[in-house]
Amino acid sequence: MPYIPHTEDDRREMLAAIGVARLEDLLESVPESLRLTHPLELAEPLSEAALTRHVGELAARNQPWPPQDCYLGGGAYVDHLPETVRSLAMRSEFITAYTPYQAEVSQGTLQTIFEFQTMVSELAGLELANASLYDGATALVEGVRMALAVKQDKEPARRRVLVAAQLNPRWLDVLRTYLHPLAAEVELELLGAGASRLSPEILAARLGVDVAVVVVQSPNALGLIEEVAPLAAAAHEAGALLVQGFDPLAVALFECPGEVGADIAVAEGQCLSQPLQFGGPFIGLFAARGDLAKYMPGRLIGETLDAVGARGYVLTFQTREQHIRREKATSNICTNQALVATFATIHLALLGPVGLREKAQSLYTRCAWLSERAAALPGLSLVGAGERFREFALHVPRRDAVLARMRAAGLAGGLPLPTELGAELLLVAVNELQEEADLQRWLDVLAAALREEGTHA
Amino acid sequence: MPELIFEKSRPGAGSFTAATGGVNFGGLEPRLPKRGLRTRPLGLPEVVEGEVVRHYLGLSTLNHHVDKDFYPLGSCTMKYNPKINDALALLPGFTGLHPAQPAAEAQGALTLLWELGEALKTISGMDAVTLQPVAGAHGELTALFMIRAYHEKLGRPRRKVIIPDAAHGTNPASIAMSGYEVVQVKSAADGCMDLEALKALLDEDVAAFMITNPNTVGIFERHIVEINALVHAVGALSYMDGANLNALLGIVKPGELGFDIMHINLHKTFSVPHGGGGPGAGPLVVKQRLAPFLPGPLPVRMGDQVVWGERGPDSIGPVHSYFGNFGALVRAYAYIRRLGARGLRRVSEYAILNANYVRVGLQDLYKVGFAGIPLHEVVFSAINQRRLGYKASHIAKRLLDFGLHAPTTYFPLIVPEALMVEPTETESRATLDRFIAAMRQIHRECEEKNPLLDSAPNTTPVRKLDDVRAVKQPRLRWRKEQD
Repeated sequence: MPYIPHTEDDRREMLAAIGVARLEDLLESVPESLRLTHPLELAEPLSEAALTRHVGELAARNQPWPPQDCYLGGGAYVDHLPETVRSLAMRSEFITAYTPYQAEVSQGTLQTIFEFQTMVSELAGLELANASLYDGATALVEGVRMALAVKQDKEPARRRVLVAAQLNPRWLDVLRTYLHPLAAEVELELLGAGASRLSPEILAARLGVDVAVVVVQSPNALGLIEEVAPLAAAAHEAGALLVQGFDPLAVALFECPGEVGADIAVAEGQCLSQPLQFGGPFIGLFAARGDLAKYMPGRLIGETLDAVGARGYVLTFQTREQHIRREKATSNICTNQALVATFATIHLALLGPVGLREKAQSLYTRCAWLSERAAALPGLSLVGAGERFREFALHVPRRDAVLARMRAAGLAGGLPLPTELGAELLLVAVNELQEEADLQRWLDVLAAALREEGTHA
Repeated sequence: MPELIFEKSRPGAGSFTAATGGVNFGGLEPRLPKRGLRTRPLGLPEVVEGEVVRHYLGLSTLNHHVDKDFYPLGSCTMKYNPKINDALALLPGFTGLHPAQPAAEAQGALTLLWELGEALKTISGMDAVTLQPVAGAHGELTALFMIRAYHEKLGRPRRKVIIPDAAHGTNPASIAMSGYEVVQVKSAADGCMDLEALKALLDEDVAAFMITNPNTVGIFERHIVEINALVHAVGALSYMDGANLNALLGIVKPGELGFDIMHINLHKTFSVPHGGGGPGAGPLVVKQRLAPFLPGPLPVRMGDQVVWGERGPDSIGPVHSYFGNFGALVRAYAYIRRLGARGLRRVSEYAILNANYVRVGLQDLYKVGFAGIPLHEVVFSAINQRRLGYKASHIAKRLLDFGLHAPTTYFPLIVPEALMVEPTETESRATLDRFIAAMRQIHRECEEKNPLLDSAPNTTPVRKLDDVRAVKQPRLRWRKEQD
């Protein structure tokens, strides 16, 4: 039997040692009337060879786009992950370890995640970072919950959560799911629907003494860099905290959350760590101001000394966590995304500050080049003005038909955005594997599709 | 301990992109934004590729891991993780798939998700499933959101959720996050649910009852059918924490015990590697009456195609950006297909055999928490050793010197000086004998007041680490000025 090492002799002798005759006898505590009398109705077992063929055939029925032809983004991005990262992070020593409860035999994971926390803290420009959360959406949820806890500790009447309408729509959906059970105590309000950015004026009009937290994402769901500093200042003036969604590559070029006054910063870290793999595993990055440590969700690794004075790392501040605090814990997080954090750490160590900036610049350059040319096509218009990162939103008449034509020509031309963000919008994401000729092909194919659809004379 | 990667940094030494022949601008003239530029330094390390490899390879060797040796952490199910599953999850047909691609372009992935869901329904005896939750605690929380939605639909969400005092800490934490009050019920002297105590707590303000079965002392709740009937009699729902499902495969179906909803830790029972703390997967299986509340979207079979079903009006909404930890789901699917019904039943039988073999190998020296034959794990109480002046934590740390991982300690809370051992089915008798011998030797050392117990661990990469210092002088990230 696969993976079970016992011989017949082992079984017999072990049962004898226990003092029973049959394996069934060990099920004493399971009432006989409840036990299954038939085998589970599952498909026949497969040999490894047959399994490889079967799952291989499933994989072959998928049609992933070649990176140069893929303009899909919206929170999941094509990125080049150096082979060194996969080769190191996929070692048994990292993959088959448990959560590092026994610190003395878990220094590999613990030190790596301590380095990860330092790197996330640097990216966000905030003092603290945790050991990871599930994904960007749930990191945002934890950020909002933490901000509510910080404010409501002293001012329970602060129950409103103001969210910029240009938040990633998937993150917004997940936030709604999580806040619904707390509807009696927490009220979520969308700001600036229909605009391309959240303006300080719109925010100011909705701020008040009952607001606990303001949420804004930059770059936002339309690819636009938000001016966060005035929003943070206004939020603070009204006594609220600001939670910013950020992009871990964009912060190598643009102001980081710590520079613009964010109190808590969250991000999706997939682009640093994992292939697309149909949406998961991804990883939530989470950073916060230094004075908020006791409110932090999730695991934290800290540095300490051992019995002979050598440096080492442990899980720390565990009195915030579920296994100690139970219902008073800051979050229910137990298993998180440690291995994905290991991927991200090794990748960032390889890139360094120069490499990360160059990588970000290469995306910025492609996005700027392509968005300018797209906007020049007749009948099309860019959403919003000013700086963008990695992706841009385009208003495309007869969008779905145009997209279908691009698909037929061999391109995933972009991601259709939900109408809440505007009618017939196409979000176009570039990646670092695309060359000028590829981008030009996208333009040509789009222009042809528009002609064929007759969207302009 | 090794240097941190930051301490190996030398300005100008690193940069992967520069080192590999310059960054790829795709033939375009590089540009920079005109405004809003970062001015704060970006404190990432500058280390050349070969040194990065040595650094993380060196760190990796400091880990205990299941490919190296025994990992008897109770409640964690640290079984062997088949290599083929990793290889299959990394097939380009899976890794290159964008989650926003339409179903027609992802038929292999959707078929796999659908098939995995069907298998989990069969194994659990439930009617519907979501694969979206990415961890056990995430599954629990999703379940509580659904329980709330169910009661809201019936008129009011109710107020309380009952759990045993032996529950995992994630249970009460998830209950609080879903806006419910936690009510704890004391365990009976046999480690099982105290029926009378439960009856006294049940009323129409109870939304749900959550229980781990077999419970956290490894014992099957023998009155579970009666318990579930009591729960249903007040209109509440019964939730099974599936953390210990490794004991039940092909032996009982939780759905047939009266449970309405259960999460399954694929990173425990279904061999997904634990990764040093994730990524895992915590799918939820439910009875039909809860199906409308599942988070969407769900894969639906239509002829020979699998499509994404529309999210219904009663759905709680999504709990993840996309469809959960797809890579983990591929691994679990491969595991189930490799083993089939007979193989899965064997998993549980041999997990139970191994736990009981450890029990009889140690019970004369280490008091067993509760009488009876446990299933897949056994909880010892180190009270004999405590009388000799040593705690469960001494025993745990000393075990590390033998190259073995420690059991789970101080859990469940209802057993003093708890040492919770879950060997899993993939450990050989020789390994179990080695563990038993080590535990017996440690007991002798307690009798002899061997100083190695106080100084343990003695042979690990670092010696006993000071947890108190970590809290009192917090250093949660590296800084240059520390040195």
